[in-house]
Parts: sequence; structure tokens; C-alpha cells
Amino acid sequence: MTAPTTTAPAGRGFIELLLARRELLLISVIIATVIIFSIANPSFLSFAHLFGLGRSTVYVGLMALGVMLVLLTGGIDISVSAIAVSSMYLTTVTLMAFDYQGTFLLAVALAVLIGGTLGLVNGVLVTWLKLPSLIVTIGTLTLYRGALLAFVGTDRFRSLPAQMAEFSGFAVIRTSDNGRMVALHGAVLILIVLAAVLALALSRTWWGRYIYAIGDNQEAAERMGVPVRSIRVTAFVLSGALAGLAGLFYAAMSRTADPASLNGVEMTVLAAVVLGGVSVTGGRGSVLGTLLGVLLITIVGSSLVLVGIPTAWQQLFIGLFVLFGVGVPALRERRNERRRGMVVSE
Amino acid sequence: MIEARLGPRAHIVLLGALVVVLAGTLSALAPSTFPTMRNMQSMMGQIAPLAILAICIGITFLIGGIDLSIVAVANCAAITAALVGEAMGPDAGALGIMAAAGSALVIGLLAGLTNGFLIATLRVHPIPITLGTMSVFIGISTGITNGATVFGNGYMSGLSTATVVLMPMTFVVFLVLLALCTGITLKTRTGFHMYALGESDKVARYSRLPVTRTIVMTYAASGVLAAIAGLIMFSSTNAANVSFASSYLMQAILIAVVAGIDPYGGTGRLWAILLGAAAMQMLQTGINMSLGSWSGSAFASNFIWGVLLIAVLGLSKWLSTRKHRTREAEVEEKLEEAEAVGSA
Amino acid sequence: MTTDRPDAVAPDRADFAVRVDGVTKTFGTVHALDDVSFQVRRGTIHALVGENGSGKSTLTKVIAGAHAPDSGTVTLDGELLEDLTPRDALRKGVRVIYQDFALFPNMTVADNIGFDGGVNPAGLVPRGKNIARTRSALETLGLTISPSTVLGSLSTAERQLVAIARAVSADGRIILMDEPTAALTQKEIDAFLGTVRHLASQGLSFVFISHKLREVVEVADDVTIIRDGKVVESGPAANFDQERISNLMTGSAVSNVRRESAWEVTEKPLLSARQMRLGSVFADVDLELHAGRVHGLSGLVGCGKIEIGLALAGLIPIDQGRIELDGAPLREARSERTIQYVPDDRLTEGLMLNWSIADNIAMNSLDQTTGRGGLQSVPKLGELGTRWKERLRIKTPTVAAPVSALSGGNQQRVLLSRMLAPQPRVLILNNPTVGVDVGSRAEIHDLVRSVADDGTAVLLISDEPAELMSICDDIAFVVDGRITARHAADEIDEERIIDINGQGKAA
Repeated sequence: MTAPTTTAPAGRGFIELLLARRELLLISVIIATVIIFSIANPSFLSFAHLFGLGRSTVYVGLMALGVMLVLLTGGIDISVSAIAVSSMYLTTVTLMAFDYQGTFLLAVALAVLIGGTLGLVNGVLVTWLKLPSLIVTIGTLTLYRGALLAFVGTDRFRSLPAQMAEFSGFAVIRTSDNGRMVALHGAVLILIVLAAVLALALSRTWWGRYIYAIGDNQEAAERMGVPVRSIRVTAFVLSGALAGLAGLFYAAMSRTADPASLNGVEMTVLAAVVLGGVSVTGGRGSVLGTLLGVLLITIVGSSLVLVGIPTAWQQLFIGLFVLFGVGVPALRERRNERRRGMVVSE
Repeated sequence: MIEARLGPRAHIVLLGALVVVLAGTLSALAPSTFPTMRNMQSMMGQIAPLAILAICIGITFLIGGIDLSIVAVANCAAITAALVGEAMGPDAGALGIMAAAGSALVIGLLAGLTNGFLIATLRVHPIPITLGTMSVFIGISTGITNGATVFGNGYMSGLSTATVVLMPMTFVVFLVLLALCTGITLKTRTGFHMYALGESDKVARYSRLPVTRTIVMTYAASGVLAAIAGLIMFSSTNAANVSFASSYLMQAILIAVVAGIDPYGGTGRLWAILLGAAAMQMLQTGINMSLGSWSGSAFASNFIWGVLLIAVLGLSKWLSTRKHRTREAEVEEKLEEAEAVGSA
Repeated sequence: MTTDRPDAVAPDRADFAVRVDGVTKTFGTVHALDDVSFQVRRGTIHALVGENGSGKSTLTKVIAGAHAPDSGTVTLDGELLEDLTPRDALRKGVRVIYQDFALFPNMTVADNIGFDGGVNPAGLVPRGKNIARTRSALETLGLTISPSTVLGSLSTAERQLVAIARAVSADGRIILMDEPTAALTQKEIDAFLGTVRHLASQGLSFVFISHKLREVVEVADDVTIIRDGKVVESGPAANFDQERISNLMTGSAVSNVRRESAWEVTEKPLLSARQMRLGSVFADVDLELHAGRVHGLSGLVGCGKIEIGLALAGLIPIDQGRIELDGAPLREARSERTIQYVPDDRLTEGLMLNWSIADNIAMNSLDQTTGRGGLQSVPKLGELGTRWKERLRIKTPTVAAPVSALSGGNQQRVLLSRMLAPQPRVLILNNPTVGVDVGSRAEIHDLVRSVADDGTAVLLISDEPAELMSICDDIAFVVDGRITARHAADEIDEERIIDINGQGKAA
């Protein structure tokens, strides 16, 4: 045991540590949730359910990483669901128009390109025209979706190009669960790899430093010579590109390309990111926290029914999680500000 | 004297011109259907609930915030009214109406107070807070109704069918609420505090204005207004569902922005929401008239709203920076003149 | 000319690290810089001195590329740079210690010190190198902060030292320092000045902005004095002594004339604080403000003197102790209109810059702009504004003009009008003459004195010894959140104020 450095009782210190490190807090909450759920219904811990959980984190997770980037720079991106569905549907329609039978990678490239372009539009509007990102992305959310449904089509495709459809069976771990073969979808691995790359880029490259610096103190970043506008644009572009990938995966994994799907997902994504400890005013947040936020929201969303709570109440829990996720650290921050004699303002 | 709070006059002139041009064009294109009393009344009836939601956005924009939970609150209030009405039975008469409407308003007030209290005490940006409460309100509504549509027994329909001075009652309600809010913001101390808070919450705090009270009151008002909008929606369809009017949030923001209310706070005239709502409804009617037969018309109008929102925002930003520069330059000129006179 | 200092000859040689020629910069109606020319010889420390608002900070920002001048040129290391941007300046080896530090509060000390805004974003952050660099920089300055501490948890003085460490540890060749010692104790200042001298001997060039003339005389090779945006005198430090610099800065020797109080200490204080404590910010604070008297509060930046003022105005809470108004406990100091607080940062804390002068003045006295039916009246708003415009001689054609169009001194008058309009009995002023011209400064001092003469109790929190000496009757000194000394103003002088504050914890 180490010598205590503060006079605070040990229990208090542990709670303080939990509150200070959002990732630890989330892991504890996730473990607690898993324990409660698996006591209430042992099938929670079945491979079938766990793999299913992993599968459903993918598209929210990908979008959440992008939204996290934008939030880190002090902006917000509401339009991800519209970008996801637009990229996915445009890609599918294009591939089908050319009766494309080649590799899935081309579909990926196309979806990422379309998503990135739509993200670029957001970025340019926000940084060059200096418009508020909330309003701009609420506008493009409606605009992208409206344009897609009005000018591209409203048909739902159930028979996707062969390569896309095959992706839904892309499994990495196979095991048997009560005599039934279940598999973990490969997209989970892709999400983890992308998240790791992003985490490395954020912590090791100057680009990552600049992303945090801009959200932390934009004026200081400008004075230190950071190309603030271009860096902010990269965040929007990446957010769009990741959303495009998320949309494509969503369609491929559900074997359906529906231009009306993913409606309202932006709220779940934002909830997950905020719950993951990413500050809405910028400068604070991590990839790990974001993924944990996504995981917690997915567990609660897809598992309530296992413990006998009707899915109808799911949204309530998501809301409460967001409020706690935002509120508890805020209260702690307010207390610190009070102690340090700061006149509080946003 | 208070131009900085009101915003550029050019914006209002442009918006007024847009309304006139739209009305003229539509009348010329469809002389037999557009400029008729029936069409006007129908347009007023259609826009009323949305326009009231735009007031919610307007007042929260003014104090530098935003209330994303308004549609959720409206639906929650409508569902409450439907359930209370059902519990009172079909023969409760006026008492039933009072109980249903009263409980809906109380729900709105509670929702608004929750928002205001959380934002003021946690001092977190209102986006994540109202996003969270939005989820909570939707969750409660979904949980209670199981996502199903609840129907009333028609006792509220009087609100949507009655007319006052040839205008639908619901539209008159909107006008009264708008006049009230405009008066409060421009003519009372609370209104001054709202503008001050929106212009700079730091300065407002250092000046020791009642910041917390202003925030709580504004969001409470937003909640009550949203509940009224919910009641109006319920009265016209006699049905309430948690997923109704999902596009109204975006459209309400659009009206507020078009009306020249600064999303960053501190600037705007609330009464211009009337012009914004009129322009919006006429555009909608125009789209329906010209694209009515096309299956994608509803989506096309969404597209147009999105484009419009960003275009108007960009234009308004440009106007206000230009206006500000001109005002500074004018003062500079006058000061120089005065100095020249003084030294001569 | 002294022999141990670099030669001051041959001004046309490219041996100037910085050369500014004929730079003019205006903000709105204010000439922040007016045809300023300025040279820094390589390997020297060049002190830039002037009153607050004289244009020193603007000049550093022009050299750093943060402000584009309206006309004139900047030459760095012999290269004439058109349209200088912060990136260009960085590339030429310019490093700046800004007055507001320009640090990143959510990052660690090492990440702050190692931050470089001008490299290819795709490059890797040399984390090991940054930590080593941080360690050695902190060591040089005699600091014991861990490189992995999050900056936001440091005190003001520590942040200032981190800002210094960032500037001197990077491979900069020209270092601009804007009031780098404002938050430091004498011991820390000595270590810092030693480091600067050492680096200058290795060929680095420094621009050193300070209004602590003692430091200037002690460390500088050359001195340039700037007043109201113009260079009034420039030359080797040997040509100047403190008194001469001071006179050149103010333009006269009379601006800091003592304004004596006419009121004696009353038996009962108007406002008193007993044993106030707030966390680690301040403790055991006893303070009495008497009608008709101006009480000064002096101390280093970040010592807690400002927070004491904020607590008296109810802007921040206290953990312990009590505040009494007229002998009765004051519970809600925040809504007490007879107390008014004037913040120091009028641009972000004080004024609504885009709003009209009238709106800004009326903010705290809306009961005086109420017309028929209890409703706010625009004509009355204008009347109130005009009344105060005339009373405080605010130079503007109309009170409908935006505050941003006014000069610093006039903006400060608008802020004072707002706080005086509700006719306070207690006025708390935080550095009321920051960034105002010399003339306005004297007028504001006269105004504060006359407000006190009318029976108001005034608390003056100031970083400037001259200001304290000019209008205070009594002065209390705050060190690390405690009042360590109290003196009647006529017992001490400016030198003594600097000494008391510089003693730090040891006092």
C-alpha cells in the first residue's frame, strides 16, 4: 500500500479517480450493467448475444469516431446519419447501374469518397463562411436526405450487388452456441483497427495535437501558427468519410439498401460520444472513451428487453445516460471552479 | 439606440419583400386557388403550431441557447392531453377540456423548468442537455404509449375549427403569444436581461444580472409554448404519437434563422417570426402546387429548406458584419469632423 | 557606452534581429501604433516600455504576425517580410510570451512546452524529446513542476513560468516577452532574468516588455519608450534611469500626483469582511471599507486580490467568514445594488462591444429607464446615456454609437458610467485604467477620487504601484491569499510597494 498523499478517505479518493478518468467510470458502469443483466437473464452472456452486440456497435461506432473528431475541435456534426445513408445509397445505386461484380473494396472507396465530399461541404461552410456548425449541419442533414430521396430515389433494394451481400457473412471468430454456429462479424475488427489508428494519429501526430489545441484554445492555436481552418476541415471530412463507411457497412450487414433508414441515428451517436466523455466545447475526449460510450449505449439499447424492460423505454435510458454523462462531470467541474474562485461562464 | 439588439434592418426589409414577392407570384400563378379566403385560412391553420415552435427556438436563441427538446415536449403534452381526456371520459365537457389542456401545459412547464434548471446549474452547453432531455421525454412518451398512436375523443377539435375575425383560432393563439413574447423581450427588464445574456453571458454575469433566473424562465416559457403547439397539433388531428412532427425541429430553427434571430444569441426581433413563418408556409404551398403530383415533392421541399437555412444564415452573417462596419465608420467620421471643428 | 555590451554602431547593417519601419496600426478609431520604427540588435535585450495601452502589446503582435499593420514593414533577421503571418514569424525563429500566456489548459505541461504550430501536421510528435526539453527548460528556470501535470491545474505564476519555458526552450532566435514577470515573486524574477541574460550572451535577441522599471534598468541593453502609439525615445540603456523613463512614459511628471482624502476613518465601516476564506484562493481576510475613503489592494498577479474583490461583490462564494454592510450581515451580496464591481477586462468581462453606449450604461439601472406602464422606454434609455456621457465627458457624437467605436479611455468611461448610474455606496474597481491613454487615466483617477469624496467607499485593486499611490488612502498587501501588510498610503512609496509584493511567501 502506498502512503496516502491526501487526507481524503480512501473511498472518496476512488470515486474522485473514477470521476476524473471517464474511461474508468465507463468501464465500471459497463461491468456493473453486464453483471446486472447477466444475473437477470443468463442468456446475456451467450456468444450469440455478445456477438450480436459487437455487430450492432459497428455503424454507431464508426460515426461516433467522426463526430468525436469534430467535437474535439469545438464544433458539432449532426449530419452524419444523412451522410451515411446518402453515401451508402449512392454507392449501391451506382454499383447496380454498372452491374458491378468486382471487389467490395471499390464500394468502400466510393462510399468513403462520397461521405468525405459531403463532409467537406460541411467543413467549408463552417470554417470558411464562419457559420455555426450546429445550424449548418442541421441544415445539411435535411438537405442531404431530402436531395437523396427526391432526386436519387426512394426504392428499397433487398438484393444488393453480390460482393456487398457477401460482406454480411464476413466472420472472424466462429464458435458454437448451444449447437448453433455463431460468428463475430469482421466489421467489429475493422472498427477496432480504425479506432486504434485514429487514437495513434491523435496522440502521436501533430495533426492530433492541433485537433486538441484548436478545441482547447483556438486563439492560442492560431497565434502558434496552427493552420486552424484546414485542420478543422479535416475533422469534418473524416467525420463524413467515416459516416460513409458506416452507412455502407450498415447496408451490407443488413443486406438492404434503404434510403429512409438510419433516421435519427445522429442522436444516438451524439449521445454515445457525449457519454464517452468528449466535451461539447472542445479539447477534451478520447477514442477509448468514445468506444466505451458506444458500447454502453448499445448494451443498454439492445439488452433492456432481456431483463424484461420493454424496448419502448430504451430511449429514456439513453437520455438519462446522456444527462448523467454530462451532468456528473459538470457538477465536479463547477465545484472545482468554485474552489478556485472563478466567476463562472461558458 | 437598440439597433445592435434588433439586428440589421435590411434583413427585415428583404424578408418582407420576399413575403410580398412570394404572395404576388403565387397569386399570379394560381389566381383561382391561392388568393382565396379558404386557402389563406388553411395556410394559417397549417403554420400555427410550427410557428409557435419557432417562438421557442427564437427565445432560446436570444439568450444564446437552443432548445432541441421542443418537438418531444409538444408530443409529450399532446399524449398527456389525449390520455387525460380519455381518463375523464367523453362526457366530461368543459371540465374535461380544462383538465386535458391544463395537464398538457403543466407537463410543458415541468419539462421547460427541467431544461432551464439543468442548464443554469450545470452550466453545460444547452445542446447536450436538451438533447438528453429530448431523449428522456421521447422515452417517457414511448414507454407510456408503447409507441402507438393515442386518439382523443374529439373534445379539443373546437380549437382547430373555431375562427376569430376570419382567422383560425390556432393562428390567433400564435399571434397573441408572439405579441406577448415580443413585448416582453423589448419592453421589460427581463427582456433586456435576455438580450444581455445572449450577447455575452460573461459580461452579464460580471454585471451581476440575474442570469440563472433568466435562463430558467426562458426555457420554462419554451416548454409551455411547445406544449401549446402540441395541443394545437392534437386538436387538429385528434391523435397524438411520439414520432409526429419529427421534421418540425429543423423547420422551427429555419423560421427563427430566416426571421433574423442570431443563433449565437443577443440579436433579433421576435415579431419577425411572423414574416418568417409566412414565407415558409407560402414556399411550402408553392412547392405543393408546382410539384404536388410528383412523389418526391415532400423530400424536395426538405432539400429546399436545408439550402435555404444555410443561404439565409450566410446572407445574414454577411449583412450584420457589413452593417457593423458601416456604423463604426460613421462614428469615426463624425468624431473626426468634431475634432476638426474643435481645433479650428 | 559600456564595453561588456554589444556595439551599438552601424544601424544599416543587417545585424538587426528585428527591424520595424514606419508601422501604423489602427483599431476602429484608435491609433494603436502611429508610424513606429524600432530595431533590436542581435544578441541583446531590448526593453519596450510604456503605460498600459500605449501600443507595446500591439507592436509585439505585429512582429509576431498576429496583427497585420495598416502600413509599414517588418524585417526579421535581415529578411523583409510582406504580409507576415504567425507561421512566417515562427519560421524566422520568433517566439512570443503573450500576456494571456496563449497556453492550452487541457494539455500537459510537456505538451504545452513542446507545442509547435508550424510543422507538417502529418509529422510525428517527438514525445521523448519534448519531455527531455521540458525537463531541462523547467530546470533552468528553477521549477519543480512535473512535465505530465495538466496545465489547467497550475497557478497563475506557474503558468507564466510554463509560458516562459515554452518560449526559451524552442529553437527560437527572437523572443518577444509581454509582461513576463507580472505574476512572479522577486526570487523567480531573478532566476528568470538570469536565464534571459545567459541566452542573450549565446546570441538570442529579446524584446522585453515591462512596466517594472527596476527590471528594465537592470537587464536591458537598449530601451525604447512608447507613448500613445508613438516612439518617444530610444537608445542604449545607459542613457536612462528609472525617473527619466517614467517621465518619458507618462509625458509629464504630474500625472501621478497624490489625491488626498477629505474624509476621516469613520467609526463604523460601510462594508466589512471578517475572516473570509475560499478554498486555497484566500484565507483570514479582514477588510474594512469606509465612506469617503479609497482602500487599495496590492499584490502579484494571481495572489488572490482580485478574488477578494469578486467575493465582496458576491460574484464568487466564500467558504467561511462573513461580509457586513452597515454592520448587518450581507447574505446576497450578488443582488445588492449599492455595491458595484468594475472588472478589469472591459473587452470580454465589462462591455457589450457591439451594443450602443446607452445600452451599456443602462444595464445595471433599468429602473431608471422605465417609462409608462412599467415598460422599458427607448427615449429614457437615450436620456440616461446622454446624462452620463456628459457627466463623464465620453467623446462620442451620439450614445447610439456602438461601444467598439470608442477609444480605450472612453470605453472605460462607459463601463464606469454603468457602475455609477445605480448610485452605489461601495465601488470595487479592478485595474480601472488598463489600456487607457495618459490623459484619460488622470481623469479617471480624479473621477474615482470625487466619487469617494461624495461619500462612496472605494476598493481599488491594482497591479500598478503608481496608481495605488495616486488615489489610495490605505493599502493592504495580499500574498498567497492572505493580507500580510497594511499601510497608510502616505507612509510608503512605489518602490516599497514593489518590494513588499516581491518578497513572496517569505514575507
